Amino acid sequence: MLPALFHSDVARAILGNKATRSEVAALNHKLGYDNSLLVQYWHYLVHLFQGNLGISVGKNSFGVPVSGIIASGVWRTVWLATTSLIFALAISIPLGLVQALRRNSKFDYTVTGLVFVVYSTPAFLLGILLISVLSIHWSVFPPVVTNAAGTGIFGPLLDILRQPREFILPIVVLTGLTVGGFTRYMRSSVLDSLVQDYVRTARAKGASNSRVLFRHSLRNALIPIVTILGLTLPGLFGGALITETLFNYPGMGLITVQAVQNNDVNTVMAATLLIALMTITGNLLADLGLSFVDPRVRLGGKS
Amino acid sequence: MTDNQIIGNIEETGNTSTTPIATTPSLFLQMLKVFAQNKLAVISLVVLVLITLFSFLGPLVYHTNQSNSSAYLGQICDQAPSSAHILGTDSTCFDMLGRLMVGGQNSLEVGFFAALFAMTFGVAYGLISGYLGGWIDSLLMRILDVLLSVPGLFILIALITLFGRSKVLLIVVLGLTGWYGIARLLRAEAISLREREYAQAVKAMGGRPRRVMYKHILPNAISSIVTNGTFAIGDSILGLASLGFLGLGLTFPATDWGTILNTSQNSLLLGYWWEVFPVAIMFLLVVVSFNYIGDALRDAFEVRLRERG
Repeated sequence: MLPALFHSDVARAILGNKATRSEVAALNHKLGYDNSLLVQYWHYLVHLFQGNLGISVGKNSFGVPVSGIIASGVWRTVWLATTSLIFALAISIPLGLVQALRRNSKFDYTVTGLVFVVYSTPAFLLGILLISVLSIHWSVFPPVVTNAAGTGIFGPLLDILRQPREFILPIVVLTGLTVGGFTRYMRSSVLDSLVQDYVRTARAKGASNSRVLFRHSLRNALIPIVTILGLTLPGLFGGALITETLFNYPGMGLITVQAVQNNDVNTVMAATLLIALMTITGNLLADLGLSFVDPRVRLGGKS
Repeated sequence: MTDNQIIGNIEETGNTSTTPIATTPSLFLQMLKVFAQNKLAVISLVVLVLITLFSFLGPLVYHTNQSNSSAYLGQICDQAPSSAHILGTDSTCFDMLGRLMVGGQNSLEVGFFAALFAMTFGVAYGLISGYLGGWIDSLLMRILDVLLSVPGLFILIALITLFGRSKVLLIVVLGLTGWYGIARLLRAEAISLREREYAQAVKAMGGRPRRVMYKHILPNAISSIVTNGTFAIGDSILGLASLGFLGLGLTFPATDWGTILNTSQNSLLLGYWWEVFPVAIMFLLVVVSFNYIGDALRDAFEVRLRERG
């Protein structure tokens, strides 16, 4: 509920540089900013729980309900992030596994080096680099997402499936954010599990190599990855903000940036609130997923 | 080393004649040696020093007008590198090399002071939370959990919308979002150290909590603080660059690396490489250098841990 706390300071910030004093006072009164901070906060909270996020106070979109502005972006960001996560997992799990199996080989070192480079390159630099090479120099992929008409829950997903070429660069940039960390964790996680007693037991009772690997080692190695998945969400959404701005894709990130440039405090607050909510939901899903992957984790208090 | 000797080293008062004072410099030398063995870290350090010198002393040698682009008014903007402008000019007609220097100054200053602010705040927060414990600890940690659940970039943007974007405000805002990690570390450190015999002894002798925190817990946490501080500078520079790239960095005519990248985003489409690549390379070098140095520092401090047994 943090953003709502900041809400009180907002009136001064936007209305300070507007027109005459009486006009400011009138607008302040209309928007309820002349009430005391506590009353404002109370109103904001009451409205929030009624599902009312207030109206936009930006120059270009004054009076439009914030929920309308944001609603179109939520699922775009969710699907973009989800797709990139799937790619990141699809790349990093096998990569980390092979790295762990061929520890200290040339392959291991090469991947480690590559992973470090990708990991330490910020999203916007990776984006600029990809655009300059693949869009401008070779014109393989378009530099911006031109057609993002999809609305509703699955509209954006259909967009991605229909014109994958437009979405490849943004997805690659977002994948680059997480794939490095995942690969590192996967490698060390498999390494850890390979020296466990149960792996030795499985080998001792004559299980085949692949059975040991997939049934005993991999299944346990995946457990920490589920936890990491939840922890990367804030970074992923932050990266989505940069990526969406870079590729002009109207998700939550671009909406937030445009709202800031527009001095639209209500929309920024609502977007931040929603992103926090999405992060928490994601973490909850990861925790639930953990109990699914690892039967030792029980939901509920009794043990 | 035994616990006794550690007390001797840390406690400034008291006769510690039995403590071999000579271990302290040799320990430092040992750490220096471990650090110097890490070639990447040494190279990073050199790179950082060079870029700092370039940014702060460069303008004394290479004079350009960086406050008013009208000085170059008669000229064409987006000029390719020439003898008059070694790295060409940007889309607002500023000399690109001079722009790099000014941007470097601002980025490094904001990065350093934001990290300093974040460290100070985070250390105090973690110490208080961990040492006092109880409901204060629970409250402070729940607040931290709430903050951690919101992506940092979104908090940054929300704060900037509210407070504006002068240099000082950017330092404060970046500092305000950079202290979570160190606060957690210091809390853990404080919890484990407050139960040690020497901390208990100070308490038993009537020492106030502040004394225990400053003289006993803080010196033991110095390795985490220095290592994290180094990473924090890199992170702050990265944060500032992200903001700048979104067009939310320092306001014109002041600039930073991210803002330069933002103004020259379209230049790439037009093929003006000199407006993008020099600044991108410089920025990447600095961020990666801070990470390598942080890594090496962590290794160097491990010598001390090994020594401690």
